[in-house]
Amino acid sequence: MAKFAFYPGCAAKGASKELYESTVAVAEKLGIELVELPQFSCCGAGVLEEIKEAVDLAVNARNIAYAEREGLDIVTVCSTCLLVLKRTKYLLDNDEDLRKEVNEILSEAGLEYRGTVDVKHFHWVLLEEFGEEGLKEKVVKPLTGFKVYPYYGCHTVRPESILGFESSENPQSLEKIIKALGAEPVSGERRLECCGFHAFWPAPRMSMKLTGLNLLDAKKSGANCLTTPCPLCHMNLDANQSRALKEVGESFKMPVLHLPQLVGLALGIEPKKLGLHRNIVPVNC
Amino acid sequence: MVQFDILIVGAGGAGLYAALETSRRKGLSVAVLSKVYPTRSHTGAAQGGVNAALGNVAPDSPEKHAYDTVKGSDFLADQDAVEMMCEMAPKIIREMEHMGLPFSRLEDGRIAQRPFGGASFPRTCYAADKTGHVMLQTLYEQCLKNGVKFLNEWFLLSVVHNGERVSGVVAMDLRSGRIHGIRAKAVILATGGHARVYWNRTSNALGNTGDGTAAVLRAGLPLKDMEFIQFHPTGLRRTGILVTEGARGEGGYLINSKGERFMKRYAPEKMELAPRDMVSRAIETEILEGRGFRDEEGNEFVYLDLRHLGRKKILERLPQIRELAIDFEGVDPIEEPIPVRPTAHYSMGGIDADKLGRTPVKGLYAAGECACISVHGANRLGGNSLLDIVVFGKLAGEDAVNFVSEVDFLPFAESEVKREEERVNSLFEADGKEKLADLRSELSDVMSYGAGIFREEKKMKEALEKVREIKERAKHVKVYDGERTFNTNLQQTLEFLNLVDIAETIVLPAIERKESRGAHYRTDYPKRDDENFLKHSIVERGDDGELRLSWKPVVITKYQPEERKY
Amino acid sequence: MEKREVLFRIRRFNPKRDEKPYYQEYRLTVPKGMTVLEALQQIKDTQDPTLAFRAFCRSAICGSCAVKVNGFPKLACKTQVFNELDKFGTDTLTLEPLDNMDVIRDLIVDWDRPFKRMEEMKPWLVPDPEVVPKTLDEESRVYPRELKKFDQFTDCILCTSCYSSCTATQLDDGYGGPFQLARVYRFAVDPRDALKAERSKIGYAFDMWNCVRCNKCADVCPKHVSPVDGIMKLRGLSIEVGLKDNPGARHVMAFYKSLLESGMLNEVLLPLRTKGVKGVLENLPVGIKMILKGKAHSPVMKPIAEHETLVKVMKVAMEVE
Ligand SMILES: Cc1cc2nc3c(=O)[nH]c(=O)nc-3n(C[C@H](O)[C@H](O)[C@H](O)COP(=O)(O)OP(=O)(O)OC[C@H]3O[C@@H](n4cnc5c(N)ncnc54)[C@H](O)[C@@H]3O)c2cc1C
Ligand code: SF4
Ligand code: SF4
Ligand code: SF4
Ligand code: SF4
Ligand code: FES
Repeated sequence: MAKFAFYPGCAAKGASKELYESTVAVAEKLGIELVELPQFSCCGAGVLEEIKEAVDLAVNARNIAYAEREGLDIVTVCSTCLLVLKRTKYLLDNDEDLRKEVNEILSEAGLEYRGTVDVKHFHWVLLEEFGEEGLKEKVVKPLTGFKVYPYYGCHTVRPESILGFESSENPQSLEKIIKALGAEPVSGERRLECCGFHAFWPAPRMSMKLTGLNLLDAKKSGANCLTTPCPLCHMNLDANQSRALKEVGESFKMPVLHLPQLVGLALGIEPKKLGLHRNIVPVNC
Repeated sequence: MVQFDILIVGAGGAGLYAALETSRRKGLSVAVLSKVYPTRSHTGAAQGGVNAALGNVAPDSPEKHAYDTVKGSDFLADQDAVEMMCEMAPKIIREMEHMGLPFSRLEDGRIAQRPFGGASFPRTCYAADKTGHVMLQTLYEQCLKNGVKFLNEWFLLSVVHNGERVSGVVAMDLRSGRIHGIRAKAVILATGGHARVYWNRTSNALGNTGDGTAAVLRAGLPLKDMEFIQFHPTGLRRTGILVTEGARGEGGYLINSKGERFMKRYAPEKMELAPRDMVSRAIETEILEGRGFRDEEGNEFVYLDLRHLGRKKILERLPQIRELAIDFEGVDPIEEPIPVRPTAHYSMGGIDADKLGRTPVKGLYAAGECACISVHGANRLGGNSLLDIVVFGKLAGEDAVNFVSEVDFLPFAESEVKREEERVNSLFEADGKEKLADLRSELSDVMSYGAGIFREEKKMKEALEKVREIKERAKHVKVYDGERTFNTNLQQTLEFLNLVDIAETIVLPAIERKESRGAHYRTDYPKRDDENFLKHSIVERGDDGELRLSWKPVVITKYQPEERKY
Repeated sequence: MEKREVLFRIRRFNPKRDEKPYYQEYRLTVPKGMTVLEALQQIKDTQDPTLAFRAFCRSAICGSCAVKVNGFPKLACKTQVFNELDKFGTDTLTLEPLDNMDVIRDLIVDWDRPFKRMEEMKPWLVPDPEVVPKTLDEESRVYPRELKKFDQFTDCILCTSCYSSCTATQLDDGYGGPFQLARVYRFAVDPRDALKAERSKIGYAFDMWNCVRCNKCADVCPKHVSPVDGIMKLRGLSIEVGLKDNPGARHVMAFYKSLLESGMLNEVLLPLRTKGVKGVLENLPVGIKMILKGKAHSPVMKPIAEHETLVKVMKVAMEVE
């Protein structure tokens, strides 16, 4: 079956352990082989570009270079990692001079970027490997009655020129997966809006307001839970939920599931293995 | 009434350079009035580049530049003005470079230059294929820096003068719809070209409707060499949107349906880089003689093939061209040739002005494409207009500064404003028997038929009749939108009426110029006739509303007319 | 040739007359290849002369015609109707004026605010006498690799699409705005400019750290400018010129440190490193919840495998030009 270099990212390795757990459990169930390369470093979340672009590119070209050594495409479960790695690949694949410069840096560590592997998000892989129908067949516990708000956030879809898996204006990947799982995707106006995570430190109130508005929209559109392909979105939407809602003058509880958690439930994996007990807003299922 | 020492109408390259020049003199009140936000002016659409004999790539000199320009003009340009422009070119390019203009560069850091049609050396300085865009942005930035005042989205209606001196203009604030008189000691018109006369097939912006030129005509002042309209060889098949000459400068081929580089028959030496008038005629001839292509909608065209330039060069030097071809033709030039056909592009003629931009009315200046100085004569060379606009914008600005320091404001009669108000109001009351869009399209067809790339007496006379008929019918065009705020229905109608006025001034001298010269090509007089027509045509509108045609000598300094061979 | 019947829902509003905006519907037969602008003009020519919108070059270079098409800012002149219909699987196009600006009439918005904002940020070259020659007999030398640093940002046509979609602009009145901040960066790395990296202080004063990196600006830009990239780099310059004592800059340094120390982000120390004790206190309630749920790792992290290659490339990258 399919085999990938697994790039969990620091969030899944740290504060969002449950994402790591659920991803591994789902992959195992579906027979996707995930090889976590011990050399992978944090991608820098785009923050490294703020130190110096060369550092950002070198760090991530290094990550990709290790996957190239193994001959494996990279799969990640964090939207921001996805964008950061994809951006590196995009820039290096489209600019010979830049690639040369970065390779000069890598060569100091005995590495080389060749552009031979791709970078994908875990949920893209689900659709690519199984399709909606294939996924449906794997479902043992259809999520009937789940009304799920498909929260994309930013970095799985934007900018489309770099990510390119689907339209950034009308993406459907999450809806497709939600449907395949037997649940109902609700349509919300803010599924493509930002959660403000990346401005959390300089502008906490703005960040919280955005998250609050997104949660409110989920509530208004009749969702009983929300799913996201990004642990950082998750951090704002779940761990910071009560603070975010306060910012928009509300208080309610909206369960927020990592996408692999949602998939795992439908595949019949036990909640514990999916780390559902670690979610801050309780998920009752 | 609002007043300024100097009012500049138009915020393209010409208007902004004039503004910069005036802003260097402290204590003057100056404003720039433009119907679009400055950076939207048509100068921004210029792609290919701007000429100056920097000699960065091959040895060059202003004299050679002048000679090429005069030869390109088919010897109709005024040579003193050409010499001045070419002499100033290197300095003014460097001046803009010093302002931050992001020119493309050679490895050693100097400004890069590319070959262009009709030039003996790579002389065209460029910023990829967005030269006009960055020029406009840079000039605008510097105007902001110098605190230039802008009246954005204001529409010029008329120029007011007392027969000797200018006293101001009447203009409409598009946002409020209100009409104002603006008093000024000097007015610099920089309102751009009028190739929109050929509405259905042109490279020009929707608003290149010769508003300033028409206002000058209505004010009783002379227009010069109006019969000369440049058709650019390579407009996109469907829309007429331009593919820069830079594409051929970088080595693009023109190919007919037999797969031939047909330019070998027309300009064996320069091939695709012969001057525009020749290349346009060559393409049309190929099509007429059945060696063009034809698509399912009936559009006829030839191919501009860039594929052999390779991906890297196309992405580096012609990225916007690639986008345009993809967005507007669905063709990626890296993979496929681009379907092209000539498109109405540039107005060589315009407001009669001397080499400092002065018109016969003191204090009234014209610069840029709306003016005819004339440095382009019967055919403009690619890359010479961006040069013309900055050089003569600057000179007009300079001269205006000197002029206003010596004079006072003239009185400005309220009746001038009234008159324009009435003219505008009457448009709301027309009977609506004619439709704006239909008539505009008809005018375009008539002009392409009678005053297009190939001309002949009979067709031109028919066209003149038709234009006059359209002028009558235009009185029935009604403005339906009764609101004043941003009434684009009104604006489009005013622009159309300007086009009608201008159309007549193109056809009339075209009929009388019984020779072929540059862009004016007559099948019934295929040869240039220096004995009779080495002269500028002048049209004026008399008090009776009729056009009068006269002629004016060409200034010749060093370059005696000779046959044009490429 | 393929033709489709399309329903255009156009938001109309004349603040002088209408109490609030409303949608008007127009039907049009649209041939393949027709742009939104051509459709608008055809509606104006044949159905409703009062419809107000801006357009000028009709070739994607003047920036006049940006409107929202099915919710996203687009240049009307380069957007083909069929593409949008297919993307949304519909035969209806909703056209609306851009956001974050007041409507003057129908699809025409008031640009004064964004452009005034840009002006306040000094978007012009101040020549550096060391680089820019004093006379017009010479050019300044700008090497192709220097030009490459700012070239993409000079493509901006001021269409305000990015501004319309910008998350930070929407929420923060003091925010500079995407194309405006990108232009500040453009000058900050122009070798001819005298202010150079000091310009990042302008970005700082205009809240550049409040950019949420939603990447909308990069996504909507019709000229493929990526303002957010300029903003990220402008932040970097601000750290270089010493604006280090703020949460944004400290956050950056925390990442950098973590990578050098272990190769992975130290999330536990992030609040402390970014906002000091105040940060820890502010985030205490959430922090405690996370610890209780078993979401926290130990503050001391084990380095990744071959960490030395990471340290090496980071150090070399810091040194290259
Ligand atoms: C597609 C294209 C590509 C070109 N490429 C090149 C090239 O590569 N090199 C080259 O040298 N030349 C090129 N040209 C020609 C050149 O761009 C133009 O001739 C030149 O830019 C004209 O500049 P301007 O300042 O005279 O007028 P414009 O830039 O057209 O500006 C006219 C100004 O007048 C204002 N205006 C007009 N009417 C009114 C009114 N009624 N009221 C108020 N304001 C008004 C407008 O708002 C605008 O600000 C190109 C032209 C086109 C169409
Ligand atoms: S996005 Fe964050 S958490 Fe994910 S790897 Fe990258 S830096 Fe680490
Ligand atoms: S929504 Fe928030 S966390 Fe998610 S990708 Fe956007 S900015 Fe990042
Ligand atoms: S990335 Fe930043 S600048 Fe760009 S749209 Fe989002 S918030 Fe605005
Ligand atoms: S950056 Fe792009 S989207 Fe923003 S104003 Fe400039 S051209 Fe428009
Ligand atoms: S009309 Fe100029 S950008 Fe669309």
